[in-house]
Formats: sequence, structure tokens, C-alpha cells
Amino acid sequence: MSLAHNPDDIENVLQACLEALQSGQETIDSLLARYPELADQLRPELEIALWLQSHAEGMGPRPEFVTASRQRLMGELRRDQARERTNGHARDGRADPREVSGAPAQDRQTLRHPAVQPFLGWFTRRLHLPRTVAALALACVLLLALFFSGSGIVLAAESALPGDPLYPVKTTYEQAALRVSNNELTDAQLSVRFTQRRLMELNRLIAAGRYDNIDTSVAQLAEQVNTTLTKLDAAAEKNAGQTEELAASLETILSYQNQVIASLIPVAPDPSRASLVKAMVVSQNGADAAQDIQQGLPPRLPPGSPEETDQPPSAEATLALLPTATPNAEPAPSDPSPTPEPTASPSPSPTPTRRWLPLPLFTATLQPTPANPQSPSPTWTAQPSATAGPTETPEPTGLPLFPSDTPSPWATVTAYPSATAGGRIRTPLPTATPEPSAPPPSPTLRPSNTPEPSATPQPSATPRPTATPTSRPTATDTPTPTQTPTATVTNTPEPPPRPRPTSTPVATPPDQPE
Amino acid sequence: MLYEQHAPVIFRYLFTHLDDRLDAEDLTEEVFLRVWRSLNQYQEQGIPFVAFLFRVARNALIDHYRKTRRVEPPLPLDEDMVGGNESDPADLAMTGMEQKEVRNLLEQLRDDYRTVLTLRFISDLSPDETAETMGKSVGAVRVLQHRALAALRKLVGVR
Repeated sequence: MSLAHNPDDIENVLQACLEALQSGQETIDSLLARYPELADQLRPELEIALWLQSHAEGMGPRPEFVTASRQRLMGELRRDQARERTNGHARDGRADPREVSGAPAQDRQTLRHPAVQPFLGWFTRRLHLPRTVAALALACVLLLALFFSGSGIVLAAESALPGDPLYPVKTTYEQAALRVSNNELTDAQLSVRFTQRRLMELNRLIAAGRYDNIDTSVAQLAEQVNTTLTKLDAAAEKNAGQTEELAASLETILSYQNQVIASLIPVAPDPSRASLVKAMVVSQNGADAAQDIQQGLPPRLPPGSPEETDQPPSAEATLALLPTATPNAEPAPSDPSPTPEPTASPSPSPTPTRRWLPLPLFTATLQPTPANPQSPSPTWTAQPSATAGPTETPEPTGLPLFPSDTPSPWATVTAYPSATAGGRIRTPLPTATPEPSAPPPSPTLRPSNTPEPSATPQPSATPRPTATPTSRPTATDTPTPTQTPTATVTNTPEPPPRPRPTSTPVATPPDQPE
Repeated sequence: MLYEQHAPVIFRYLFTHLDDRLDAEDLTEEVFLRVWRSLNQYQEQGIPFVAFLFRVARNALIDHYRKTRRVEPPLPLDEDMVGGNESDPADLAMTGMEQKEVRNLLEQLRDDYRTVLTLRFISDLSPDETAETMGKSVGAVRVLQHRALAALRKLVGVR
């Protein structure tokens, strides 16, 4: 970045900073370090810009709307053409069925435009198409040309979700981008960005109710996080500073995602909950591994990882999300030292700088139990496999995964010890103004990674719980977060839309209504 | 594919200016219908397609405001479109309130501030595209963006 540091030129500096942030190559802190004299002015603006951008995806249309509306639009265009054809015949009495008069008057002007005629003629003659069809074909070609001129199909594929026809294009493009990248740091930057995409895809699938594709999405997420951690690890050897910043970004992204998923699980249909739990595990462990990278620690290996057991990688191993080529990381599966940190009873670990989170779910198989007399809602039971169980961890078997009076293994994934461990404050809305009625201070997400005191007040723009019941009707049998008093909001009967990092289980309220 | 690429972007722009998601969806369709019907104007104007699209969207929005101010019925909807109003709980939980919060904040800004922020950060237009859409120079958009962000930040601070 070579812009002058002239305070009068803050608009240009701001623009340059925004572009750098959007490219994923810089963080707010690294940018502000370049413009220390403008830092006070730039930081709030960059933070609010990032906050605004973070909501862009959520403000998109329902995916099904795009498909349905395109069909309606096509129908409307056909009706337009039919109307115009009728009007044209009535107007001039010349019943030329090949006359392009389906569009309104100005459309016909378009099609009669001198610049269009040669192309239209070519379509008509060479392809032996009626003029109506030829005109439509020409229009499509023109639109496609416009489309492809802006890197076309790749752009279109960017919004594709797992299960969409264009999704392979998206992932192929990403792989190609990684292939043409010429250094480890760029690889890592791209990978972090792709991880964010996987997370957004998962959110969008959930928001769209496309639960059938969630398994695929979670698997994609796990693979991507794994790749990203590997890339970060490789980049750290060459450029520790920037890699740390990237790892911090990854940690923030993943931790935030964990909260989002935690808020969605109670309202997700039963068959999807296990997948969402896996997604939480993926996010949590990815965040922890990213934190390790920031601290210069070698990446963690899960007990029972392929390298250690010489077993082919299983789905659980994939979900373990750990780099695959680390010779010195972790003890053998029989070593009980890697211990998750359940919020209820944190286990002592012989290696305090390494934490295994949440191990029971690494290898647990989630199965619905048919009935639970104490809870009318479907419950899930975590069944740890033979290779998993850290001996000091509360036995997850038999504990209901969903609301009950008993702490569940769920708690291990909904706790966010890393939110405070690194001293990083995360808040979705940057603000310096305390909210008088805010919930108790808790670690929250913020776009920047700047360490701040953990007593930062709640962001004032956080949607207030009082707006919850009136925002939309909840005509569903599934309890929504608004009906679920969770531990994240202790002073109010309703939770915020996104749970704050908390040291108490989010999904295990004592008296969740069904 | 063109529609699938641009419809979400246009929708976001419209949704930040409207209270109702259905209105925004309806108006998005209307915009593309208008675009189709005025392709000749696009060719004559020689501006980037995205900018053209947003100009049409802006005009559609103005027309919508006029119509609703006169308490006219909203644009006709197909029956199958109306059915989508029942958002699923996950959608509700994740996006509903925050969207409203964002829109509430943006609503309190000056028109040009809201427009520049919406185009740049919600619809993700480049500065050039934003400038084309707003009919301003790139430099003017930069200044406007800076002031709008500062205003929004101040607004958030006040709240």
C-alpha cells in the first residue's frame, strides 16, 4: 500500500484499507499499524464496515426465491411476448408469425436496432430459427456474454451451495486458485477465505431449510478447515507474523460460527442435529488449532488419528480437523492426557498448553434414543467409541444431548474457553458505547482481532431480546431460541439472536419448553 | 445464470430499503422485468450492466414508495410466491432480528449515506460500480463512504 499518510486523504486511505480487508490479505490491526496517525479515525470505520459486510449474506433472498422467481419471470416474459404478438397483429393487420413482436414496444425497438439486426439475421438464417426464437437466443447470448465478461460462471458458482449443480465449479475454482498460488502465505489466505465460504454455505443451507445437504456441507467444512490448518502451518515457517494474523482470523471466524450453530441446533429438525453437532466440533477444534498456531505451537493430532493408528481416515478422523503431517504432536490413543474441557468439570491436563476439545464428540456416534420419559423432545445419546474416551472426561454415554437437567456432552462443545484464553474479544458489532441493560459481560465476537479487556460492554447494536417475539410469527412445533431460556442470557427471559461466548452450556437450559 | 448472480445483489439493496422481505422479493422480480423491457436503454447508455441494473432498481424503489404512499395495493404476486412467507425457524433465529437491526440503523442515515453503504457493503459493489450507479465520481463516492461510515459508527455509538 503506497498511499500517503496525509490526514486529509483519509478517504483514500480508508478505501485502500477496505480493499485490503476484503481481499483477506490484511487485518485491521496490520492496516492500522501502517497508519498509526489515522488509527483512531480508521478503526471504528473499518470495524463498522466489516460489521455491515458480515450481514450482507443474511440479507440475501431465500435461495428458493431465486429459482422460483426466475421461472415466474420467464413466464411473464412469455406472456409479454404473447400479448405483444396479439397487439401487433391487431395493430397492423399483418399476420407475420415470425415477426418479433412479443416484447413491448421498446423491446421491439431493441430488436430492430441497426446494431442488432445483423446478429439477429445470422441467428435466423444460420440456425434456421424463427425470428422470435432467434431474438430470444440472441438476447440470451448477449446476456451470457455480459455475464462471462465478468468472470462469468465462476461468479455465478460463488453463490452455489453443496448439492447445487454449480457447486463443483466453485470448489474446482478454489482448487485452481490454490494451485496457481505461488507461496504458502497466499495459500493460507485463500484457504482461510474458503473456510469462511464453507461456513457461509452451511449457514445458508440451514437458513434455507436444506437439511439434506448439511451432511455434505459439514464434511466439506471439515476438509477445508483441515486444509487451512495445514496451509497455515506451512506458512508459519516462512512468515510467522502474517500467519498469526491469519490464524487469528480463522479462530474468530470459527468461534463465531460455533455460536451461530449453537443457536440453531435447538430449532433444527432432529435428523440434522447430529450433523450440526459435528459442525460445532469442527469449528471448535479448528478454532483451537488456529489458536495454537498463533501461539507458535505445533498443530494437534487427535488420538486415533490416521498417522498414529495407521488406519484409513474415517469420517470422525476427518472431523478431527487436524493437520495430517505432524510427527511430534500428540500422545498415543491410550494416553489419557488429551482431555476435553467440559465446563462443568474441567479436567487437569498434563500438557496445559494443549487442550483437546471436545473429545467425546470426535469419536462419538450420535444416535437418537427412542424415548426419554423426562423429556418429550427427541434426545440424542453420545456413544464414545473405543478409541476415544479420555478417562477423565465425564462419561457422555446416556446423557441427553438436548435440554435436560443433566449436563451433557453438548456442554463441551458449547463452551468457549478459547474466547477468553487468548484475551481476544469478539463482538459482532463494534462499539465503544456500553449498553446499560446489556447482559453480563462475556467474551464476544468483533471483526477485529485486537486484544481488549474482556470486560468490554455488550455492543449496543445487538438486537435486543425484547424485539424477539414480535419479529416474526413462529408457527412451528420446534422451539425457537426465543422460547428457550439459555444460559447466555441470564438477566432476560429471552436470548439474543446470536449466543455470546459463554462458559455455560448454551444448549442445555434447565427448563426448556417443548 | 445472470439472474441468479444478480438477483441476490439487487434483493439486498431493495431489502435494506424496505420493511418487508416479500416486498423486496416482489420488487426484485419487477426490476428484472423492467431490465428486460428496457435493454435498448442499457445499450444506449453504455454504462456497466450492474450500474444499469441498480438504476432500474432505484427507480423501481421510488415507484414502490409512491405506490405505497398512496396506499395502493402492492405489486401483484403469484400465489406460489406468497407461500414463502413462512420462514423456517432457523432462518428466523439467525437472520431476522439482526437484519432488522441493520435496516433500522441504515434507515436513520441520510439517503445518500444509506445508498452508498448499501451498495458498497451489502450489495458488494466496487467503488467504480457504486459511482456509476449513484451517478457520482469515484472520488465523491470515497468521500461519501467515509462520511457514511462515520455517521453509522456514531449512530451505533449513540444506541
